[in-house]
Amino acid sequence: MSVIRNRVLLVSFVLLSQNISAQNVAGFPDASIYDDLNTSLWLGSYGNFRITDKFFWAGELHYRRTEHNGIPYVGRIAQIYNRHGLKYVYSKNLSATLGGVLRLNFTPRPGDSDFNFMVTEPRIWYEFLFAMPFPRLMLYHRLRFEHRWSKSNRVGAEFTYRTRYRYKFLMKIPLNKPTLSPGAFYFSPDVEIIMQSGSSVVANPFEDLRIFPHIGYIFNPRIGGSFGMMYTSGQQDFMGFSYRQRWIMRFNVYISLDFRKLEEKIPEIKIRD
Amino acid sequence: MLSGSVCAQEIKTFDGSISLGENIIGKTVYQYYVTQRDTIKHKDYYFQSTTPDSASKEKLHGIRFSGAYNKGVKNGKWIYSYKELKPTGNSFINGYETAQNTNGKEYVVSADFNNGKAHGKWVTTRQEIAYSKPKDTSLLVTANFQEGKMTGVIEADSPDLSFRGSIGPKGIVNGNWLFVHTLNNTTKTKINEHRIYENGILKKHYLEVGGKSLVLSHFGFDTTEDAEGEMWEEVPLDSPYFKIIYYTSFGTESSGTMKISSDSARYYLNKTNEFLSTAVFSFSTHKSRDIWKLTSGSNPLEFPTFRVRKFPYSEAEKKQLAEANILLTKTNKIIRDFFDDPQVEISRFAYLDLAFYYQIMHVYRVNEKKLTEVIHLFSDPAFEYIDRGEIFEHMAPQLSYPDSVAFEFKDKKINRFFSFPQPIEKSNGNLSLVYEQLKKIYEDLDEIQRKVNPVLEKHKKQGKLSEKEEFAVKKKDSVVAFYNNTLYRKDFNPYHEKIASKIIDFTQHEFKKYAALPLEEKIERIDSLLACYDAVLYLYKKQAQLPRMLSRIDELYTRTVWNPFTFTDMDEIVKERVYNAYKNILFEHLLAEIEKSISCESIVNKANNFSVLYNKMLDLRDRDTQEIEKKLKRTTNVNTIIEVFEIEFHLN
Repeated sequence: MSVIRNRVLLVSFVLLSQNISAQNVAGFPDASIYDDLNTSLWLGSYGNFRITDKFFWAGELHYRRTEHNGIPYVGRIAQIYNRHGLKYVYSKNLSATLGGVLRLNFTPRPGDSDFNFMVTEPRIWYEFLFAMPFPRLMLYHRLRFEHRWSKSNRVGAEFTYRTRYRYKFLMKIPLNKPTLSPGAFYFSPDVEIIMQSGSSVVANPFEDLRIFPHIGYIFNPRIGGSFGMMYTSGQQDFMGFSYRQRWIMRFNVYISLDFRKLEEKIPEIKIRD
Repeated sequence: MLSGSVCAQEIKTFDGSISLGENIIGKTVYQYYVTQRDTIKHKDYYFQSTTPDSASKEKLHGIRFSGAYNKGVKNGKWIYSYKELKPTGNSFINGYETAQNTNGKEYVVSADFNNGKAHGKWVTTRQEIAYSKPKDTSLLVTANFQEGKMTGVIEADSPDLSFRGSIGPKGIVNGNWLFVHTLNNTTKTKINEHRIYENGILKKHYLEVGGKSLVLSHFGFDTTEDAEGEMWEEVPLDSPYFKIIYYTSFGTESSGTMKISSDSARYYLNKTNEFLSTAVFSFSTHKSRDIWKLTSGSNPLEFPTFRVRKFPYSEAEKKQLAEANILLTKTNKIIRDFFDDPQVEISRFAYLDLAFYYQIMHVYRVNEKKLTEVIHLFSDPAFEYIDRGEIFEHMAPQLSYPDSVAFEFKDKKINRFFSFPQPIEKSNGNLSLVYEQLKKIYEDLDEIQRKVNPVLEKHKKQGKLSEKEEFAVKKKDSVVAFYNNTLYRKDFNPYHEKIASKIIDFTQHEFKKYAALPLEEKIERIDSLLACYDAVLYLYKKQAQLPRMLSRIDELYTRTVWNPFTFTDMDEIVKERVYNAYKNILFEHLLAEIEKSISCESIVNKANNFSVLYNKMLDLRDRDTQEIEKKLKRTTNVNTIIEVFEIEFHLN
């Protein structure tokens, strides 16, 4: 009980820090500290494969690099990220997904024997996606929850458990067509806030804020793509006063295939008289 | 419902409803026994049916049968009674029931059977009912039957005719049959008609009026069985005997100052025949029903027969008769068609030859009618019992042909020779000459028809020309109005607009071309001009359907897919190469073909090509088009695509 009470007190303290002198708290600086901007490159492949009328297999694969040794964006490999899940489409406005993630985290110090070259980070995740159609755009709210077991690449590091609470707001606004249809470019304002909890979360419940405006293109109903620069910022582990900042260049492809048998697809064909 | 008593067989009683014939439903009570799974009626039988009249619900029809069976066959006295009654006056109380008087009629047959055969005295009575009491008897017939056959004396009485005749034991009429015609019931003026029979053969037929005799002559009717090889037959009462009697009757032999015409003689003869038939058949038939067939267990009644000599048709006669009937049908048709054609009535005043032929046709129409009567008589089966050689003189057609035809034409009296056939001589005539005469008439009519028809056709076309021209102008104006969109039709679309000026020019040009033709050529050309305008209007209609066709194909070749990233439905074209070849090349090609050249002959085909393409696209949607799509990948050439699509357009 005392641990929980301490955490609550700590969070309250951080949030009200502008009114309370930090000097009164041991080890905290007077003002928050922002790290230098880091740059990364994320290449993502998002898949939604229809297996029945209501169920999709959701599969994501990311290849992520980050700056290193003065080389921006692509200096070293950062992560390989595998996310899979079973998506249930309740209606054309609501879906729910449950699945697992296996992230491979590569060493931040290549060549340093104190660090493992690669450590795994498994997660269990589930999400709810609400879509709101408007005449000229689509608006989405995503709630995602992740149970993650992660550890540092440092040799001998232990796994710690955390829970992530993610809320994402995004829109897709077609630019050259009235609707999101093949051949349409669209602009997507995309903002996500990620909160976290867990025994190791002492002064850093606010893990990340991601602002990701991007441009997308729909090649056909099965394939799309997008590009954008994402700015993220969040509290550093063990140093709640210190904020990480990143610019991440992202390229994504979206693949949606239908694995149902031909005759099951027939209702999708438009035959009107 | 069933109750029984035990005898040698177990006799049961049926008491319930049954249907006699098809629609006489009533209550019946009868006794029966069952043997070998068969129901055998035995002893008393009773049936009563009451049904309202279909037209007047107040009127009731009642049928009653009562009698007895013996082991399934009628035996003893039987009564058939039919009543048709309508309530009249006020209702009154009778005991514990209310009742009402009725008017109507009753028909009763009192019969007698012996083991299912008519036997003994039979009586038929028909009487009128007034205020529930019998008033007048309109028919009373009595006769005797022996073993199912009518024999002995038969007597019948009605207000204006009665008769008495006798029948031999074999059922053949015999002796003097006396028919008394009451001409006036008040003065009791009567004519007695005697038919003297000897063993069924009519020996003498005469009328007695005021104590004097007038012999009714029958020509071609043999009354003497006197030669070897003659064929004598027994014939029934009605057909053909009455016809034989009728056909052979030609007036009376005069007796002093008294004479009676053929028509009068036939009037009495017919009346007698009808009454005789009514009286005899009154025992078996009522309201077109065979009375005794309604209930089982009796043999049909055997009625008196007559003996007449048969004169069988020779093979040559049969053949000529058949051919004559065919010729008759043909000549009738020619004459009917000619006189029914209103153009004849108009053109005969404008065309001399037609006026001449009209008169000839008229002569033939009168004479052909007379020949028709004779041939119909010869074709009647009754004529096989008449000596046709002897009777011909009395029934020969009164043919009459003029030497020349006189008629008026444009206020001038004209006389023209025409070779009519020679009329048949009464004393020398026969079927063969009738046939030859008819044949000649048919040949002349056929010849006239062949000469007259082209003239009539020409006149008809001329007569209709102005009407058709008026129609053509209207059609032309419609085409122009349609394509100019002056009517603001909802179905006017860019495809019409695209070729509008060409179509209008073409339409006007065709009309001018027609207008410049001489009258004779106009008659020939007007129908094709109308057809041409119809074709253009057909093209308009087809073009009006194009947006719908295109939209239908679009829909058919569009698949809607729900995208899980955008949460939206997305349309995509399936069989894209086929669709593109259709939309961008073939459809455009067909439009271009119409624009390229417009002619009356090709419009309909070109318009129909759109349907051909449309149907092909419907067909391809459901087929595996992998091969076709492979071939389409390499080409944009229209002819190659037509080949790949295996489609046949008609561009001419």
